[in-house]
Parts: sequence; structure tokens; C-alpha cells
Amino acid sequence: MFKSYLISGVLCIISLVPLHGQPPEQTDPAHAARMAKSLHLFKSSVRQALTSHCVKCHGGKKTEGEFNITTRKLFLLGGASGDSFTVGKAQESYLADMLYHRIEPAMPMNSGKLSDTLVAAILKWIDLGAAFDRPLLDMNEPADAWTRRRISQEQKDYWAFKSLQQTAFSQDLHPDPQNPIDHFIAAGIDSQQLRFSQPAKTNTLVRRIFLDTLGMPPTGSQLTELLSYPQDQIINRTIEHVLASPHYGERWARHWLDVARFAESHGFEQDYDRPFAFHYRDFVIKALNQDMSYDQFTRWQLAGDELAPENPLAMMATGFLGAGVFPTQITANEVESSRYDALDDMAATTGTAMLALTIGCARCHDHKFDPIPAADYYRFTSTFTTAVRSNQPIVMNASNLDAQQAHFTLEHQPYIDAVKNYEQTKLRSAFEEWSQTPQAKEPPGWFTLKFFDVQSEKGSNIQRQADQSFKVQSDTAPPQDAFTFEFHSHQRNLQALRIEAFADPTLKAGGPGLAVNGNFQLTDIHVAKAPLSTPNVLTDLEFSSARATFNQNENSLHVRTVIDKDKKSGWAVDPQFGKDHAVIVTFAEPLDDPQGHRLRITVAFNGNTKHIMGRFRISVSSDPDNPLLGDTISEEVLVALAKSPQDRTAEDLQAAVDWYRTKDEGWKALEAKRQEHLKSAPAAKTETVMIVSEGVTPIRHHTQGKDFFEEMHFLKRGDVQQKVGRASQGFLQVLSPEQDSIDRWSQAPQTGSKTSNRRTALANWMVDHRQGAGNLLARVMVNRLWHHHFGRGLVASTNDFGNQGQPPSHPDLLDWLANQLIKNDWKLKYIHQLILSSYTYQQSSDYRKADALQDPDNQYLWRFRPRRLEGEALRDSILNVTGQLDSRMFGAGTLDESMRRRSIYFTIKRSKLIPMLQVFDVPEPLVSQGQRPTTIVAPQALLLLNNIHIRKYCEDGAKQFLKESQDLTSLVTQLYQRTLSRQPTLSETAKSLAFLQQQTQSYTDSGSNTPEEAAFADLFQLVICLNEFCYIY
Amino acid sequence: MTEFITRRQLLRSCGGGMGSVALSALLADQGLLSNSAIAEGNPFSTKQQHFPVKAKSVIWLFMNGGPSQVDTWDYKPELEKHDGQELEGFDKNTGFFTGNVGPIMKSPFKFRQYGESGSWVSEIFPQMARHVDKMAFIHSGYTESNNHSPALFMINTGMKRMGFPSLGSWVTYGLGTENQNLPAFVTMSDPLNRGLPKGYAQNWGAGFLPSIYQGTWFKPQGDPIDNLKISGDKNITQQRALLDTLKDLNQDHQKNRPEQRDLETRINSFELAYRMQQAAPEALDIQRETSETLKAYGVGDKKCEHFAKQCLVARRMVERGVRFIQIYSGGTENARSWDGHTSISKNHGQFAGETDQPIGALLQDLDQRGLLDSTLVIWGGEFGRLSIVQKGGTGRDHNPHAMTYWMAGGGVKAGVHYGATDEIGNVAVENRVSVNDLHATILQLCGLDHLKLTYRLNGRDFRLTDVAGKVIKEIIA
Repeated sequence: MFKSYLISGVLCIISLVPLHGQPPEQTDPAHAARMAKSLHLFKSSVRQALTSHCVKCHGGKKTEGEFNITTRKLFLLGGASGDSFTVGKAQESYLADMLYHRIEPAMPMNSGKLSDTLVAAILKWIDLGAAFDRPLLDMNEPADAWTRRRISQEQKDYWAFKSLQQTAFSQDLHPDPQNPIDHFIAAGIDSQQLRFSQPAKTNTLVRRIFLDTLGMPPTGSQLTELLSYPQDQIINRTIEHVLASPHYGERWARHWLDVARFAESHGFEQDYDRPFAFHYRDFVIKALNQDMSYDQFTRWQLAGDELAPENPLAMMATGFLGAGVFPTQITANEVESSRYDALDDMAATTGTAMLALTIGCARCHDHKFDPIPAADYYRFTSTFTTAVRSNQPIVMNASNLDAQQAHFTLEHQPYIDAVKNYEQTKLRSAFEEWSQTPQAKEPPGWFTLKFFDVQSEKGSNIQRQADQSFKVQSDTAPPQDAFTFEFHSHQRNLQALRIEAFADPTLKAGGPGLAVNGNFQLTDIHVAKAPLSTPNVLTDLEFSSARATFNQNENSLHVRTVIDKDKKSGWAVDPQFGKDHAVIVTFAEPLDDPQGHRLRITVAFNGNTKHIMGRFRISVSSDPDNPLLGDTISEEVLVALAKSPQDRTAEDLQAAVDWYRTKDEGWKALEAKRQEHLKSAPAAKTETVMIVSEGVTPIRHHTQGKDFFEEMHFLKRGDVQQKVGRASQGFLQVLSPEQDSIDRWSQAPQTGSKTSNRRTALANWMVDHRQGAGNLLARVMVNRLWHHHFGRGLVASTNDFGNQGQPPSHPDLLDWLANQLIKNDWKLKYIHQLILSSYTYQQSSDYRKADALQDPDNQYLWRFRPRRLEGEALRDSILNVTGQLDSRMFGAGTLDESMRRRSIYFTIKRSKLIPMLQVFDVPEPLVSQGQRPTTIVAPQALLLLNNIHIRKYCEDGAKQFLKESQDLTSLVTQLYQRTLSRQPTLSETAKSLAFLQQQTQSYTDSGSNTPEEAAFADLFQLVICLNEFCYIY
Repeated sequence: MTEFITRRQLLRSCGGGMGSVALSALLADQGLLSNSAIAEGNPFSTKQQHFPVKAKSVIWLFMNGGPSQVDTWDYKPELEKHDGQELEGFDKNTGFFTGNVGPIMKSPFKFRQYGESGSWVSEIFPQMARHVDKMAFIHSGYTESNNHSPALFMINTGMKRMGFPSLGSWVTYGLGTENQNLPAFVTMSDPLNRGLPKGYAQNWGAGFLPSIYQGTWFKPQGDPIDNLKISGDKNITQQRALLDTLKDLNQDHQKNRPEQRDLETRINSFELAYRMQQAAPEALDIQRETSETLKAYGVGDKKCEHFAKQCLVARRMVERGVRFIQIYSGGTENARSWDGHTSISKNHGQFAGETDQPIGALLQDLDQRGLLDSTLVIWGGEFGRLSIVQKGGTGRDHNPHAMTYWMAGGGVKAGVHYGATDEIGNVAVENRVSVNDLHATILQLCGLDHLKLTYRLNGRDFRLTDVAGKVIKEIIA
């Protein structure tokens, strides 16, 4: 599966004896019929078995025991010595003993016993004449023949690959089944002479449904409320409650995350975090809670980015493909094999999680047990060739943003209208009035010039703002830049130039600079001037002095360096960030041409990285002593104000009013209202999400090569050094129609699409229950649900429905449930509801010796099988019963064990798994896991006894508890109710009270300030250690 | 349970006869028994083996970063002769720094022969050299990656990829442990803040085996094992009282469920936990050793004290029946470990200084206490180093094609040398030993057949040695 080794050391040491007898006479009239039957057996199963398990050592790479089975003639010759088989009496032969593992050497050697059915088929085939249609090995096969290998129709004849059987169920009522599930179970129970158990006690059943479906027991008040319903409604109410609870998604998402080998770090050497991977976990919880159809759940995990890119859930779903491990340090000669490993992870996990097929086993050779040729593996895996992990900004509220924004625009219009209306009416008269006042005769000393153009030397994005300032886009700005502006002025006597740099709360430290600390460094100001009469005769303007709001130091970062000859030194303002700054340079001689001036002003920022002003404004003045941070006006308005009212043009008036309005109280009030309303505008909520897609920037690792390759090749023995042609996309032959074409599932990508739509084709095939894999998909999922409700699947090997897995215990029920799933729009809650409301589920877990002797493993479900809670459910239950659960859902997780949210919100870092969960069998998230082992070891007991967090929950819970009542007996009753969902017995109450008394005394003796609290914390801790607390009964 | 599943059926279910090895977990995986029945068996109980056990315990002294074979145990006179010459036909992608390929470089260290076996040893190992007659050397080891973490995974789990069970996990899965009061598989990493080996806990992870088989990592700072100290203001009397009432109530509960034997197992696990609280600190307390012993290991000598203490803990663990102990010398990489890229003499000189005396003392001590025969001591890293110099210094780059391992005690043949590298020690050429071969041999010494020690996952019976592995019989006594 993983390596390119030849089998060595796995030798079939067999010494077969010559044939005891000769084949039957050819004249036998029944011979032809027998040979036809034999041939049928050969084609349907025997050939595959011999090819997979026997021929390598018996005629292939070697011929052990001189027994060559490649042709009929050689086969019938038998081996070197002894008595191996007799045609017609194969069941009693030495060969049969070896195949049944009755004697040593057991065959096939070292690779597991063949199923009894298969052995029987082989022996029957021999008895019928050992017919071959062609030799087992074709020595003349071309080297790449395996890349075109077809499976035979007979190989599809296996329960998991068949269409769903439309099973009719028995109408006999056992004992009073309302639910079809019970008919199927009753049939099995009957056939084994077993009996159904009595229904479980009501409160036991309520507790069971809660623990099983939500992963926590009911709270005291939930239990009281549910038990207050009429007896015949309690359970249905309980089922309704749990399936509507948001905790349902948290509980069942955890099961799926095991299957999806989900974690939030890369693994390998550095085990870097994937800080945006948690969105996949949130997708699973949300999808389950909203009862997303399982076919869509499946499709989105494979190709959500192609199928519904506008839907954030669909994008989050693709995290499934990227959840596996990937090396963070890859040397040159491991680049390609690492990429094939990553593709294998995607393909193998998809196969196991969705189809319970071990597709990954066909990487180095044809699958040994299932009809999955290596050719299928490469064609299937090629689906993912160009798919990569990527961190992308996703608009999380995309689905209804447009509608919200349209609605808001309508709502906002009256505010705009009010301002406009005011401007056209009252504002003008207010201005006329103001322009007669003395203030109007003294405009601000600084004014901006008539602007024509700005050029960035290094390509920054610079934009002029309404207040005549210029803003540089921060995230795209180059490390250094210089900006050259073209201005004209018709004012005379210009003596100084000012540059204001504005603070900006969106920048680091509030700006004004774009540098990581908020600083800038103005390295140079250069002004070229020309009279407008001869605008192309530019000469340099000289400066006589410079001053600024603040200087970072007295040397190289002082404002004087702006006007010196050194183009690298320059003015900076560390640490005075978050406020406006300004520099004034005084001209050596005034500019005073009556025709006006052209000014070409260059402002350079050639210092440290991104030491560029984020927003700045250039203005001039006739008085260099005007204040550094004084008010500014535009030349246009300055001219307009200087005119008498009757001389003003319409443009003059507009400009003047536009400038004036910011001084008008009436306008300011209306504009403030408009701005206030604008704050409620619906905005896109963007979050970074780790997705898997194509044509996006891959998450880069320390790789001495490419992140991915455009093409996928067939690899002999899985070895990247042995490429055998390009693999084009295909799916599993065994789950496809005879004429293998994937066209029926393919959709051409839309023009301009970055993705290939190969994953869409896979997704379509996967859910297609008519021609594709949909039937198996449904079987596998209903089985997973069954497994988690009953502790064991109808197919016990939930992740392997192949020949090496277990056959279904109730095949008809499995198919019936799968049919129900498909017919009910793939709704999982429908199946949960069916199961939870069945008599089978609601039986008591009590043990009966007679039935246990008959069916010790409870395969036929004559009782409910008790089982221990998983690590997460146990921790969540402890938090819940101690009243310490923080029930906030979703968002980034944490590694901090003191967290009190549900366990699913722990960050899963592969090198730092949460110890308190690991000790309770939480698996390492490396490959898909369908079932967890349940172990009982002392470190679990140590955890419950000594862990500081567990102890703290109990202490905090005890404190709250003791506030509720003074009466210890009543508190003990409540404690039992809350933790074990039942009343304590008299004896339990007595023992609990005695314990409290003993501990209180002991804590008093040992000097505790709060002996009652400590004692009650002990009782809490004792109860959560009880077997009864940790088991689902 | 034995009422219902015969031994014969069991053998079949295990794919060819591995006895009751890890019975419970195996059955769980195959869905043969309900979860409640699984718990009846203690997963750490001592189990039957495939062969007679020679090594009851294993101590793996892991020289993290890749110790150079030609500067330690693989003496090559020819290396000196060719010093400074270009190595013809060398593939520049062999090491990690593909642009820093220099000429052949002799060892900066002197070698001489020791013991009756006449084994050549570098001058940096004067103490270990005294024990060469106890060691079996494998000079022809090779691995499959030139990069730390895949090579670490390879040597620890048999696979370059992440996610497979480590050797220690397989051994404890196969054999259980002989002391229920202590962890079965223990890992100690660098206590001098130089970090963990690359790939971190994956190197002692249980992979797909039940997670209880992962190595227990003794934290180098603070309490080495989680949850051993009573929390809150409880004292031992108060805890005992809690346990007594707990047991009482649990037994009441169990009376109605006699068939559910996991309940009893769980009741016992609390008693076991109570005992572990006392046993583990005692096992870790090296101050109980005599001053002579402490001195012999190098406790008190700043240069090697940290490693000396870990070796002492290892011996105390072995005495108490712990199955598998791994000690990492050095931290993450480069100068923090045996990863001598820039100067072999400085780097290897330093790390030899940190480990030589403690390891020498450990071998001596185990021998004197009669424990060496039943304890397999293994020395080695994740790969070897090139016989050429890494340009820009006097160090050597990674080399997957040659590495030396030695083993002592635990049933290995003493004073033998197996396999050989080429004349300059750069490539294993004679009796090449793959990592799978090494693992197969170690399992064999532990009484386990690498072909039969399997675990079924997603339809496949996995082995530590995947589809390969050959026991090196020549080094087994």
C-alpha cells in the first residue's frame, strides 16, 4: 500500500504430493455441464482468488513446492510430493486442510485466511473439473498492461457493489413494532430463538438518548420538564428535543471528524499550525444542525469551491480534502513523492470516509482483496492532481449581502435627500450672510493649488481625496517611492510650502506612516517652477529653511535633512505616532509672477521599508510663519471669496459654498445624521478560510521544488521513478456502468474558471445512486449512524465494506435504511429519528443469561449494548453536570486545557493532542478512523482523580451547588438527578451523607477554610468517577 | 469470553496465529466483540509471545540528528588517504544542502582497537569503548530519507510518512508490560531546552494502534508524568476515603451487572492509579541511588549530568519491569543535536562528551546487576553522515546510505560486526540492513515475530515491517 517493496520473507513453503487420481474420463456425459459450472466459478471468484493469493509463489515469481497453478495442466499435476487433492474429493484433501487453516502450513501463507465461502468455491471448482478459460499469468503482457486492466462483470457480484435491494419486511409483530426497523431485527431474533428485552426505564432512556445524541446528559431542569409530559409522549418529546438541539451537531460532527482525519496542523517536522482550518469543523457542525442533505454534504466536501463558490459553507467544506498531514520540509528528491503522498491522502480518505473502500491499497499493486485495479487508483486519484490547500478571504455573509445592501440603499436615500435639499436652499443664504462677516475677509493662510496630475515612481496606488489630500494604498505600497505632482497657481507672493501628514486609525499605531511601526521618512522635497507664460522653462526652486511639528532626532532624521543634498537622509517622527504632523519649507525667494506659476513638486520617501506617508496634503502660503497645523483652503475658494458677491460666477459660488458648509451648524447636523445612518450599512464580513481549490496560491512549505504538478502519471509499484504514461480521470470500475465513460458526470468548467471541474465530476459520480457510487455512499452513512447509536454497525467494519471487512449482520435492514435515506432527500435526521424511535433502540440493556449464551456478542440486538462514553463526551458531561459548560459555539479553538467550551473546540494540533482526551482513546488524526477502541487503563483514573481542571470543575460546581440549599439530603438528591438522571436510593443517600460528613471533618482537621465546599467537591468528583456516570445504558 | 471464542477461532481471526497478542484491541477493531467485552482484557497484561523472550526490556539510546558512522564506530583508513579528493560520481542530491558538496574529508578523530573483539572505536568514546565485547555492530544500515523528520519516522515507525505506530508501541502492544504501576513505554527527550526531535511526539506515537500504546513522554521540566499529584487541597487520607466510597458505590452498581466485566476492570483501574501515584515518583527518584552509582554515571559532572540522570532513570525503569525506554540525546537539529553540518569535531565532540560516560556506566551497571542479559540496549540515530565535507565548514551532511547501529545485551551476540560500508564508509555495500530488517531483528529479540505482529485497520493487516524485513540471525546469540 505504501511502499514499493517486493514481498520478501513471505514464502509459501508448501510441499504438495502428486495427484491421487486422474481427472474423470472425458466421455462422461455430465462432464461438459460440470466443466461449464466449473468455468463459471473460475470466472466469478476462483480466478481472482488464485491470482491475488496464490500464483505469485506458485508459478509467478517462484514455484514453491513445485506446485505451479498458472495453467490447468500444471495445476492438475499438483506439487512435488505427497497427497494434495483428488478431483471429486477436494473437501477432504490436504489442500482443503491448508486452506481452512486446519493444519500448517496454512495457506495462503502470511496473508490471512480466505473466507469459507471462497475456499468452498475453490474446492467445488476443483471437484467440477478445475476449468480455466485462460492461464492465470500472461508472460507476454506488455509492461503497461496494468494501466488498462478491466475488472470482470463477476467481480461486481458482491453485496456492497450491488444496487440497493428493495426489501420487503416481515409483517409479524415482535413484540409490538411500530417501526420498520423492528421488523428486520425481529426476523433475526426469531431465527436465533432469542427474545427482545423489555423497554428501558423512562429516565434511563431519556439519559441514553441525550448521551448518545448530544454527548451530555440532560440537565436537571430538562429532565424534569421532559418527565412532566404524559408518559406516552416523553420519549418522542425527548427525540424532538435532541434532534433540534445545537449540541447535536457538536456531538455528531466529532464522529465525522474522526472519519475525516481532521486536524489543524501540517504534522511532520515543524507541525506548523493551520490557523484557518477550524472553519471545516464549523462547516460540519452547521451542516449537521441544519440537516443538510447528505449528498450535498458529500458533494461540497469534494468540490464546494466549484459547485457553490458564492456560498461560504461550500468553501469551508473543501477543508475535508486538505485536512491530512503534509511535510513542511521537503528535499529536492522528495518533492514529487511527497505530492503523490498528498494526493494519496485525498483519494484514500475520500474512499474510506465516503465509500468504506480501501482505495489507497491499490497504490502499489492491484487491490489484493477488492476489485480495484491499480489503474483505477491512479485514474481516481488524478481527480485531485491540481487541487491545493490555500488560505483565502471568504465573505462569510455572502449569501444575503446583496439583498441587505439594496434594502439599505433605499433606507439611506432620505438622509441624502435631506442634505441635498438643505444645500440647495438654506445653505446658500447662510453663506451669503456669512460672507458679509469680518471672518469671511480673513481666509486661512494655507491654500492648496490647482491640481493636474500625480505620478508614482514605483507604482503606488495614490488617490486624491475630497479635502485635497492624497492617500497611498497601504497593502500594495512598494518599500520606497517618490511622487511628482503637477500644480498651477495664479496667486502672487508664494513664500512657503507645507506638507501635512495625517494620522489614520487603520494604520499601525495610527500612522501617519505606512511602516510597521507607523513611521515615515520624508527624504526629499523638490520643486521645479516655471512662469505659466513659458511653462516648459523649468528651474529649481531653492529653500532657505525648514521646520516641523516634531523631529525624531537632531541628526539624520531631522527636518533639515529634507532640504539638504543627501537624498537618503530625511525627516521622521518616531515615537509620536497617531497624530498629525507637518513640515514647512521656506522659499529662498518668493514666487511672484503676475502670469501665474507652474509647480512640479516631487516628494520622496527613499528611507526604510514603507516609510511612506499614508495620507498627506500639499499647500502653500505667502507667510512662512503661518501655523504648522493651521486651516487650509483651496486656491479656487480663495479666489471666489475674494470676489464681491456680484462678481462671483456660478462655479465660484458652488466652490465657496462647498467649502463653507463645514462651518454651517445646520448642514453639519444633517450630515452627521447621514453619517450615523451609514454606519449601519451591511458590510461584507470577510474571514480567512483554509480551502482546497485549484488555480489559487498554495500554502507554501519549505520545499526544494514545486507545490504540485499539472499531470498525474501511472506509477509502477507506486514509485515516482517508474512512470508509465499519463493517468486521465476515471472512477472505480466496480461502481460504474460497463461502458466506462466519466462524461455522464462531467461538466465543462465555465469560461475563465480557475478550476478543472474534475472534482465536480467525482462529486456527481459519488452521489449518483443510479449509475455511480450513490448506493454504497448511502449504505456506508446509514451504517455509521447505526454504529454510533448502537456501539456497533450493521457492518461492524464501518470503514471497510470490502472483502476484508465484515459482512452485514442485517443486509436487508442496511439496504432498507439506505433506501430510506435516499428517498428522504438524504436527510440524516430522518434516519436518526427512525432509529431512536425504534423498539430495538429503546430496549433495556439488562443482561439475560439464556440469550447471552445464544448470542454472546448481541449481534442480533436482543438488548441494548451498554458502552462507555468517549473522551469528549465524558469531559463535556462533567462540564455540564458541574454547571461549568461554556456553550459558545464555533470559531477558533484553543490548546488551553482550562477551556470550558465543548471538547470539539479544542484546537487539534497533531504534535500536541489534548492529553485528557488522548488518554480516553481519542485517535491520532492521521488516517480516517471509523471506530475507536475502548480501553480501560490507570491513567484514565489518575486523570479523573488528580487532574487540576477536573478538580476545578468539581470545586466550582460544588460552590454553586451549596448556594442552592442548606439541606444536604436534598443536595444529594439533586446531585444524583443532575449527574445520573435518577433519584438516589436510600442506601446511596446514606453513603453520600456519611461521606460528606467524614470529608468535612477531615478537611476541618487538615485546616481547610472551606471544609464543606471541599467535601462537596469530593462528592462531585466521586460521582463523575462512578461507572454509572461514564456508561450509556 | 473464552466460553464463546475458542483459541482456534481466535488464531484465525488474527490472520495466522499470534496467540492472544493484544486480544482486546484486535477484537474491537474487527468488531468481533462488543466494546464492553473488550475491556475485560487488560490491554497491558503480559501476553504470550511468538518466541522465547530474550529482551524483556529495551533501552534505545537515540543519537538524534544523525551521528556520523566514520567518526564513531566505522573506522576507514582509506578515508584518510583520500582526504581532500573529489568523490567521483557523487549525486549532489544525496545530502540536504545540495549546493555544498565538498571533497572527501578524513575523520578529525583518532581510532584504536579495543577488547578481545579488536573493535575500532573513535577517541570520543573512551568509556563505551570498554564495552565493545558486549556489543553487536551493524555497519551496513541504511534508510530511505535524507531529511530529519521522514528519517526519524522511518527509524521509529518503519515508514517515512507520518502516522504509523512506533517500535515501542508495537512492542508494548505485543507484549504488554510487567509492571502495571508504571507506563509500559517511556520516552525522555533533551532536558536542556534544545527542543524535541523533529516530528515531535509522532516519533513515539501509537499511530493507528490504540492510543494507550503511545510512549509516555517524561516532560523534561516540571512533573514528568501528568496527574500523578493529588490536586486541590486533598491529602492522601481524603483521597483514600473518596476511593473507598467510590469502590463501594461502584460495587453496588456492578452487582446487577455481573456479566459486564469491564466495570470491574474499571474499579481496579482506580486502585492501580492509587498505587501508581506512589510507584512512579519512587521509580524516578535517582537520589535513592548510592553516591558511587551517581558518580559512575556522571551525575555531578555538568557536561553529561542531564543524560546521566536519564540513563539512571532508564535502569530504574528496567528494574521495575518497564518494557520500552527511549532516550533522545540532543534536541531539534543543527548544533542542538548530533546534526554536525559545520564541524564534526566540535559537534560530535560535544555530544560524545554528553553521552559517553553515562552510557558506559549504564552498560556496566546493567551487567553488574544481571540485567543486561534481559535488556536490549540499542545505540543509533536516524541516518548517518557523508564521507565528504559539507562545503563552508568541517562538518558532514546527511547520508541515508550508511549508518552504524550497535546493540548490546538482550540476546544479541557479543563482540560481533555485521555488514560493511565501502572503503570510505559512504555507502553500505555488504549485508545491507534496512530499517525493516533492524526492526524485525529487535522484535525477534523481544520474542515477537514481525510477520505475525499485526493490527487490522481499514481492511488491512498492518505490520511494523510493512511488506519487508529480514531478521539478522547473525547477530543473535
